[in-house]
Amino acid sequence: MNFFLILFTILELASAKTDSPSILILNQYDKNLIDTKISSHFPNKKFVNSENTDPFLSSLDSLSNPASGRMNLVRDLGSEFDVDYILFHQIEDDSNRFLLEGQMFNTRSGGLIKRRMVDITNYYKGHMNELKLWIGDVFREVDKEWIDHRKLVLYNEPSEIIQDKTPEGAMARSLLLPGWGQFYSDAYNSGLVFSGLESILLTSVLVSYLSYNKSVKEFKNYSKLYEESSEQVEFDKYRALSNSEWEKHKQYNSALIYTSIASGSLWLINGIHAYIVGPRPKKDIIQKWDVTIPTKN
Amino acid sequence: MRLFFSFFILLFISNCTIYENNIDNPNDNEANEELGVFPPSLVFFPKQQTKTTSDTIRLGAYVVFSDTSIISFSGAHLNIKYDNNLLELDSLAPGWIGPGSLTDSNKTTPLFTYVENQGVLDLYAYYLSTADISIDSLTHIAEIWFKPKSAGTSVVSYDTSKCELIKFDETMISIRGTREASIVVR
Repeated sequence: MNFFLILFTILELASAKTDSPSILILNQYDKNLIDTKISSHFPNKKFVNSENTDPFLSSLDSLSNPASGRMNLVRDLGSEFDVDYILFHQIEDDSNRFLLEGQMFNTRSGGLIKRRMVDITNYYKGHMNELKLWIGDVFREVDKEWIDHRKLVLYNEPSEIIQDKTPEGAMARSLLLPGWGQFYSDAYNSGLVFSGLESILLTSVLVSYLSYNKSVKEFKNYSKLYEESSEQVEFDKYRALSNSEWEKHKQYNSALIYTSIASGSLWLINGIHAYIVGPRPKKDIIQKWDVTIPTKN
Repeated sequence: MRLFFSFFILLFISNCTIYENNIDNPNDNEANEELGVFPPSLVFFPKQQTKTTSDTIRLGAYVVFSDTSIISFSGAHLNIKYDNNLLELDSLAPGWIGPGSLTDSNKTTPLFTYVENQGVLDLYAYYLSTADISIDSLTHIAEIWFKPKSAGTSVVSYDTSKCELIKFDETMISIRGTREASIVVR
């Protein structure tokens, strides 16, 4: 009796060890992007493939309860294909941007048990690696090689990213030399505008300054000649010249003040603008993109 | 940032000065009127000079009429006072009617005489020409040379109660203002 009991237990254990879960894979992506099959990277899993991804293409977030919104569909598919889980993958590849959404459903409950969204740029040939990481994470079979491959290209945490270029750096550069911060931030048009305007204003300041100094010098010179002239023809001439230079020195003084104020203000604005358009982490750049949400069925 | 602000602050401080346009020439009626000295007025040119005891001091005596004057000025008696402890009269030269110079005024050289007594100089000039009775605004009566006697400051001025300006028909022209000269000897 004991012998049979032990034998039964061993057989049960043996059969339990080999009873791996079956997974229905639904892939919605260009097959040219990923040249190998997922199953080849997870040889001990029972994958069942299906081409009909249409029921899953509608946005999960549009459902009133994303976790249980596809319960009936998942259960039906689970019965139809006799699988424990359903894995749905959708990849969008738009030039250098790569957007992966992975969803895992339990066919017994029909609920969503795991979901991952990856939204990254410039990840050269990273589609399969991300897919492997996602599935590996689901089944706790992540290969260190896959993590290393990702690290070659991506940082783990945006907060850990040390930016070579920063908004503060852009501002400092622009405050030092107008337009430099904008060029540094690849904002060439505004860089040209700021450096051009500031050049014009600084030239005006310089011209006003030189003209003011010249007028003051001439004013003093003609005043001296006027006061030294005893003859009417001479002092009439020098008085007119002296008055003319005096008026000019007032005008150039005003021009100097206003152009200096304008130049200084533009300089400050240029610094603030450089900070605003300064380089930000990539996650912020991604947020500017128009995310394409799959259309509802 | 500090460099940027320093640049502008320095620029403002050093170049925001508006100079006063207070030019003055006693021979210029416009400048005299701004000081409340109205024509016809008796003035000296230059109004101020600083010399050493070895220098010679030259001073012009002028009558300033208005720019639009049609007074037929013909002669003058000027009573000039100076500090004879500091200055000694050296020589005198007659002036001319209207703009010109000492060398080209031969045609209008007046009858000219003077009396000097203890720091008071009386000058008499009379223009004989009947053709030059219409004169310009500035009339040079005489050029006076002094020798400094010692260091100090002397004011040379007109005594208007004794000065006279006359027309060609010998009627009087009223004097409305005078300006004095200051001579500093070091």
